[in-house]
Formats: sequence, C-alpha cells, structure tokens
Amino acid sequence: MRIIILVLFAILLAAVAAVAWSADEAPAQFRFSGSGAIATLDPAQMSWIQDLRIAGLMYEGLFATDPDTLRPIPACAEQIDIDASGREYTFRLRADARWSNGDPVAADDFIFAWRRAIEPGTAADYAFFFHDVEGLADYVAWRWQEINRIAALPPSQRFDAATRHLAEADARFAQTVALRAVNPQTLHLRLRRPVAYWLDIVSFAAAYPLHRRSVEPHRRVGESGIVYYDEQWAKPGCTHYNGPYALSDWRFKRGLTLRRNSHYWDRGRIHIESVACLDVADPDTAWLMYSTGRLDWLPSVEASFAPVLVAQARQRADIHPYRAFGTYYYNINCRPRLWDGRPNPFADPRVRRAFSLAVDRAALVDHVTRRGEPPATTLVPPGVIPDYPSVEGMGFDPGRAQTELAAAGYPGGRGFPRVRLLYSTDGPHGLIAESIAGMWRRTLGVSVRLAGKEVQSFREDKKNQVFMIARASWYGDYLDPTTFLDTLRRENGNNDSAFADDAYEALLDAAEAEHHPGARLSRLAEAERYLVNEAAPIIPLYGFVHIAAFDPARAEGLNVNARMVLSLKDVTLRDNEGTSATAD
Amino acid sequence: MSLRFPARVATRLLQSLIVLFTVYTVTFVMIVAVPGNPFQREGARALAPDVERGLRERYGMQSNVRFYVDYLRRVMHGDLGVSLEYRNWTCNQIIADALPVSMAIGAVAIAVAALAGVTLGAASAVRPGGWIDLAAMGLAALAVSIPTFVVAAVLLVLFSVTWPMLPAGQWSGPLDLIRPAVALSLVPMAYVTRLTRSGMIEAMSADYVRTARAKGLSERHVVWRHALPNALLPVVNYLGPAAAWTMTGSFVVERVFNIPGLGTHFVNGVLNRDQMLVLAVVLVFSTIILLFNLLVDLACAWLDPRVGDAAQ
Repeated sequence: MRIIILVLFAILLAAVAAVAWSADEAPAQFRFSGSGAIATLDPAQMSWIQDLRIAGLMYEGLFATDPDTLRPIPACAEQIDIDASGREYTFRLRADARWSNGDPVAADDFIFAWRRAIEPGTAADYAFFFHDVEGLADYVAWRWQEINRIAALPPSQRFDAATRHLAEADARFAQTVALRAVNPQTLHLRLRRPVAYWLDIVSFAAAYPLHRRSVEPHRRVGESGIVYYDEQWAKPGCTHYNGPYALSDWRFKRGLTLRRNSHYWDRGRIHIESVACLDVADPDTAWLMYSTGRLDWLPSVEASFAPVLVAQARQRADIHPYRAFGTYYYNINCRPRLWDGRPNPFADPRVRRAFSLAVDRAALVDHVTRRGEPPATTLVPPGVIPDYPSVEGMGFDPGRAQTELAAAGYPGGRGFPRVRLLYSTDGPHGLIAESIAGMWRRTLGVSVRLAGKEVQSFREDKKNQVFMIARASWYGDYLDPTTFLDTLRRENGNNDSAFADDAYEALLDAAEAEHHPGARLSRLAEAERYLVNEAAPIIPLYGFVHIAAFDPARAEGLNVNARMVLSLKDVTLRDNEGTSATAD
Repeated sequence: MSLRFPARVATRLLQSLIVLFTVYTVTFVMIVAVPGNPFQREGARALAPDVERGLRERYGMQSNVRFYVDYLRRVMHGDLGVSLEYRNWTCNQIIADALPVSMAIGAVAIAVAALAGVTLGAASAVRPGGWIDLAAMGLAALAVSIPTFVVAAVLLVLFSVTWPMLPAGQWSGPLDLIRPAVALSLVPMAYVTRLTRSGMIEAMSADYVRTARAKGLSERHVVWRHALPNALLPVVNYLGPAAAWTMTGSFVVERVFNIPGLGTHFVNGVLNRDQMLVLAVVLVFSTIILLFNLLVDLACAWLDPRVGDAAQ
C-alpha cells in the first residue's frame, strides 16, 4: 500500500513539474484574443482574419489600409507613379524602410515574396491576386506544363530534369513577367489590364515582402520541380520583419508575443512595447478573461450572450458593435437539373425572386440573430466602398412573392418539390434556417427540408450543388465591389450557385473595360442591381455585425472598422489612474 | 515474477505493434473516406485546382496509396508529419507541447480519483448500509451523472468570478492544475469508489479474512493488509484504461479552462480534416493505451501472482 501511495505522490510531483515547464510566457502590455487559433504566419498562405491581423503588425506592404478611411495609404513605398493607361506602376521604397535586423528593405524582397506566393507548391488562396501582373499567369501555366512533363519521366531522371527546369524558370520569370527591381529601392510592374483596386491588392498580406536572405535557405525542391519551403522559417528567430512589431515568441494554440521593432521607419508612432495574441478556443472563456482583466481587447465577442451585450452597448463604453465588410446570404442552385437528375425549379429566375421576396429580413435580425445587423438586400455591404452608388434590392413583399411563384407555375406552392435547405450545424445557421423555412412555408406554401450538416460535409455538398438553397457568407478582401460581384462569375471557384448568366458577365466585362473610376463603379452598381433584382441567384439576408470589447480609456486611440484592420499606431495604453503605461 | 517474464513482455510488445498497425490502417481509411478536403476550407476562398495540386504534391498526398505508404515510412523514422491546418507546426512539435500538459492534468486527476475512490470505497464497505456508505454512494452517483462541462464551467465561474482566487484561461503554474484535474477526476473517482466497495465487501467475507480475524489481528490490519490488496484487483484493471483516457486529454475540460492539451487538437484535427495530425494523435493515443494496459497486466501479476501464472 505504501508503494502505491508513493507512486501516486511521484505522479503528482511529475505533473507539477510538467506544468511549471509548460507554463505560458510572461504577459505583454497589450493582450488580445482573436477568434480562433493562428493557423500560419506565412503571409502567402493566410486566409483567416486572425492571421491577417497579426501579419499586419509584423509586415508592411507597399501600401497599407488606413484604419479610419479604409483607403490604401503609402506604407513601405513613399512614392508611386501610375502611367496614363493605369497599367504601369513604379513604387519607390522609403530609404529608411528597414527589416528588424537593420537590413534595408529592397525591391527584390517584394519580388521574392510575390514569386513565392504564385509558385506551384507555395501558392495558396490569394495567388490569383498576382495573375493581373503581365506575363505571370502564362509563367505559372508554363511551370505546370513542365512539372507534368518531369513527373512523367522515369524517377531516376526527375532530379536532373527538375534542376535544369528551375534554372530555366528563373530566367523565364525575369524575362517574361513584368515585375522588376529597377534598383534596390524602385519596383516597377506592368498589369495586363488596368486594375482599379491594385493599391488595395499591394496592401494585402499575400503582397507583403519577405526578408529574402533568411527565408531563401528554407527553400526545397520537390521531385517534379515544385518549390516549397520548410515551414519552420516562420518561427521566432528564423526571419526578420519590416512592420511595427517583430515576433518574439509563438506557442502552438497558446498564443504569440510581439515586441516593438526598433528599426521600423515609423517607430515614433508606436507606443506599445509588447503585444500578446492569445489563442482562446472557447468564446465564453474569452469573455471571462476580458471581463476579469486578462485581455485588453476582444476584436469579436462570439459568446452566446453577445446579443445582450449589444443591448447594453449604450450604457457600456467598452462594448463597440460595428458593421463588418461582409454579408450573410443564401445561395440558390441555378443548374438546370438537380444533383439527382430531377429538373431544378430554381433554374427559373421567377422562382428565385419569389423565395427572396418571401424573406422578412427585419424579423430575422430582430428576433433570431439579434446583434443589430442591418437587413441586406444586396451582396455588397452598402456604405463601405467610397463612391459606390447604393443599390436597392428586393425587400420583403409577400404579395409579389406569391405572384412570382404563381407565374412560374406553382400557385400557392402547389406542385413545388420539397426544398432542400442546406446549412452547417455550427454557429447560428440552424436557427436562421428554421426561421427562414417558416417564412417560406407561410408565404409561399412550400415544404422545406432542413439539411443540417457538419461543416466539412456541408462544404462538400455545397461545392457539388447537392442543395436547392444553401447558407453562405462572404467578406470582402479589398475595397472594391468586384471582391463580392466576381464570386458569381461563371468560372469563379466560389460560385456555389453555379450561376451562369451572359447578361451578368457582359455587365461586369463592360465595367472592367471602363477606365473612368466613377463610371466604372456605376456600371458595377448596374451589374449588382441586375444580380439581386433580376437574376437573383442569391438571397441576401443581413450584413455582419461584430462586437469589439475594449475600454477606450485604457487603450486610447484604438478603433474598430469594417475591414477589421488592426493598427496600433498612435495607440497609447493608460493604467487605471489614467497615466500612460506605454513606452515612448 | 517468473523467468518467463521478459518473454511475456516481448510477446505483448509484438502484439502491440500489430495492433498499432491495424489502428493506423483503420484510421487512415476512415479519415480519407469521410467527406471533406484538408486543403479546401469552409469560410476561405476556394483554391484553384492547380494550387490545390501543388499543395498536395508538397505534402506527398497526390494519391491515397502514396500518402499511406509515405506516412507509414515517416512514422517508422519517428516523423509524424506536418499539420495541414497549422502548417508552421510539425505533429511532433504539437504533440511534444501538448502531451505533457494533458498527462499532467490526467495524472493528477487519476491520482485524486484513486486516492479518494479507494478511501471512500473501503470506508463504505466496512459497514455496508451505514451512513458513510450511503454518503459515499450518493457522492459517486452525483459525480458520474453531472456532465464534465457543467462541473468545469461551475468551477471556472466560482473561482474566477464569485471568489476571484484563480485567473480564468491561464496556464502558468501548479495552481492552474487544480480545477481541470478535479473536473476530470470525478467520473473515474465514482467508478473506483464503487469497484473498491464491491471488491471489499466480497473480500471481507472471504475465508482468509475470517482466518486473519481468528488469529486476533486488529480490524485495521485486516482491512488494510489482507482485504484491500485483493479487493483492489478490479480497481487496478479499471485504472489502466482510465489513466490512458484522462491523460490523453479532454476536449471539454481543455476548452473551458483554455488549456493547451492534446484533447482539443484531436477533436479539431478531425473537424478540420487535418489528416496527418489525426493520424499522429491516434497513434500516440493508441501507444499510450497499449502501454497502460501492459502496465496494468504487470501490476495485476504483481498483486496476485495467480493472474500471471494463469496467463502462462
């Protein structure tokens, strides 16, 4: 018995030692928690807002998004020349732009990072951003052609063939892609078409520069000539950063710590010495940590009682509901036939319009989502993109909904097949689906089958169009309507409605051909008007509202904005007595 | 222990390898058969087909057969692969970081469960039907029937908000171990209490206990030296799998207390279709479970040599 007690005691001691060994790092001055764990610190591979937010603190692109106006402003570039055609860009880098080890930021660091972002093996979600650079799409196509050729060779010959091919690829990239360093401080590029939002693209994480000298040694070559990098390059101490902060510590699913970059050119406006981003998986725990002073900022409160906080926002100075640059909507399957071969009643735009007109969006946001979301009748969130004319979509109109459905041959919903409404079972989607299904039943007399699925299975069904109507959401990547409208182009990989409409394509093409910015936006508004009022492949429901939590008296100068951009420039921390708690 | 002991351990280890290989194959088939794609994630932009192909080639996942063979080869070299969702992390790094955390909590939980459970069980068996017995059985029923997430949430709110003694969501010292370990220990404690009690009741009426009493030994000596070791056999049998279960992490407890343990990685790995991470965690879990079962067998043989002889 004594032995057993001794063993148990030894276990306790070992456990305590393990905890002490694995304890979190000392807290930083400014602590926050995004929604979800940091997936990657490789800017070329980022998709999620929490990653993009951190990247924006560690790196700086040629331009950056102004957190107040949301327009791109010069950042690492101090001067820009755009020629009259709108296709040629010359960026002049700041002479004082430095990496965190003191090295100057060179035009070549941008070219290295951009090329890395499109190469087979490292290209990810946003590789397509760069395909507007003249010659780049052709270069990528040629690379794939060669990779396929090498893969077909006998294994013994592949390595030599890949080596020869990569040497050729370097020369080809330099010769055919219109992206070059005129000198260490000047970057010149030519686009294959004028891109009105190109400065937004160069502000995005995928276009951040990388410290070539420290990242390149991690380059590896696959047997058929794909290029990839040992992912450890993004770990603390392995590379350098050109943004206001440098990574000092990163522990998996615990969080990371950033320290002020003393070589950053605009360091005079950075007053917070250290920043910690903690990974907190449970939204209720995150809220508890915030309310007990363990976190200074929650960019998005996801706790189950968030609607209660919105109601309290007027009394509480630390609760900040804000509209995000995103829309919650339903996709309608537009294919002529359903997944099981039956004719698809939603191929008829009258049916699609009827279903959109039958949704009472005001009731949905007042009684179901309850965060003060604006009911949406359009895909592009209104009022965010400067100069974009507001478009009026279809609101709740039960009478017209019934007329449209009757005109399509289903008076009172008679003869209409059972509607399969697909949604994922995470988050509030189930409640929303139930509520909207009720509206359709009441207004249109149709029967609805709720198909709730686990998120990955949901995605598979959505991509294979195994639905009649499916939940969807979209956040804009850049401040232009095309970030939303392009998703419904025929060939777009995000066109889950399988919407293929010549008139819509023609309207977008006409807008693309328009060089005058105002006229271009008007044409895009025309396309959106056609999309939501005539073709109706989607049912816009509401604009996203997020709730940020921070005490403005503690974090002075911190703001919230629709793009969810975090800038700590000019932000000062004050302790409870009101004195500055930050380093200057 | 007999001379054949090393041979028995070697046989068990060989059997364990076969079990591990089977577990790997079954898990692999399941993870590639379920709908979903680790490279195409819901909520993110759809990847162009050639971009996805590049990534598949980079991670050696062009085909399932190649993935199966390559990954098995990597595992044999001690390389558990890369997380496909968290690509800057290798599975080895993730497991090395999270396993000690889960094992620490689990070890304390199982130690608490064993100490409290055996004491309560033994005490209640001395006078079955007495007030100690009723109280212990009531406590055990309560512990097994309240869901762990409720206990965890109550402990969190009670000691972080009502009496702010311990910070919420922190993992920085031995004190942060207490609440998750207590939450995790309740269910095994309830089982240990009931197993000890029934084992003790049976042992107390056995011939050897009567003989011990007839020899004039004190009741305490009879209970602790003669009845309890024999009554503990089913408890030890239960504690092996229970220790493996608690030490491989609990999704609920780790999530509520914001603990960076292995349980969350396993569940999230499955949800994200993070195929290499799931395979890695399953292999580590299986190894731990097999190891604990082996330890239990050896402990049983030590407690009751007849068990070992029967196994021969």
